[in-house]
Amino acid sequence: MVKCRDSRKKLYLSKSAEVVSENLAEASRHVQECRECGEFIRGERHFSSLLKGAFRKDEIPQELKERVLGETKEEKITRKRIFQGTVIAASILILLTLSVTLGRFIFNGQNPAIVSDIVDDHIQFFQPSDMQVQSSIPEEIRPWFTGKVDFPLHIPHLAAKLKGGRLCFLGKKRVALLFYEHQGSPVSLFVTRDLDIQRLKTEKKVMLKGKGVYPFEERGYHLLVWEEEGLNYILVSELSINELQVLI
Amino acid sequence: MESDFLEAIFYKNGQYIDLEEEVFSKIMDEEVKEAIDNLPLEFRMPVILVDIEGLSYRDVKDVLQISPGTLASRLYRGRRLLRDSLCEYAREKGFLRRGFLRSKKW
Repeated sequence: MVKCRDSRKKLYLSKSAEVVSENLAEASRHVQECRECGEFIRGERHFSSLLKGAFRKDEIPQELKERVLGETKEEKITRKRIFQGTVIAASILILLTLSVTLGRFIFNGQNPAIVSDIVDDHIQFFQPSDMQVQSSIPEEIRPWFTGKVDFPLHIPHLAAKLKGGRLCFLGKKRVALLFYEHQGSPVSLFVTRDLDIQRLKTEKKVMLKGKGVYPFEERGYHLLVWEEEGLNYILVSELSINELQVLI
Repeated sequence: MESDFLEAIFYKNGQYIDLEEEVFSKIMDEEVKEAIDNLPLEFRMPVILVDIEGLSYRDVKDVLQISPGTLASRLYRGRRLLRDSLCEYAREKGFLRRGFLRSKKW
């Protein structure tokens, strides 16, 4: 019984039930074998989608939503920076005191936080119920974003099937999230204008069709980041880097 | 032991019943809104932000400044209260007769 409760709780906030950690993998295995737990998870997601469907007419004003999210995140980021600064200063003092010689600080292998956020959003949003606009035709998707993002959306042609899109947030920035599918694997494309892409520029830059593309790996997912005509694009999938590069 | 996430699932003749579909097909939007308004604030906010607005769990836990585990628990309890309220309304209106549903205990 404890296993049922623990498994349900672990999978509760994982809409797509994708496995992103060993704990989730164990819970996912249990839910596949346990009929009651499977029904529980499916029932929860269905109830959620019915609720969402009942309220499509009355959306919270976009400005209010953005302001609430932005302010809260700003406060949190400020506190986090103060804490990180204190920890870093203390660490440096300890290192100097102990006269430990480090060849070099190794921070290059750590991805910026935004990469983790992007992967989280890719995992969470890909169910049809999460798409706010569903179409395989760019001309039908583009108008939906008018007024929702503060840039003219360009939907690039990828060698993958376009499925739809939705609005999401990265920090305080409104981002167009486009959904594709390639060989059965979901592929997400985040499009924004004001992303601080400098943070994502690494030494691993590769040139693809005249574009400088930066690859990342995060928790088994792969990302490609590039700039084009003033917009920032981040492609995410469980597909390999090589498979993703072919899509661009 | 904590009862969260162990609520019995509804069965009819041993089969799973899509209770929500039955209820939602008959209840008007206004009743759903009223039921949500009547939820305690701590459960109402997760339901509104996650289920109605479709915000990401990461954003919601940041907005509410609570842990993922707390968000899961509040969302679970909010949905349970809302479901109970809608079921009660459906029974009062005769959409579901009393005793129609029986629960299975573990």
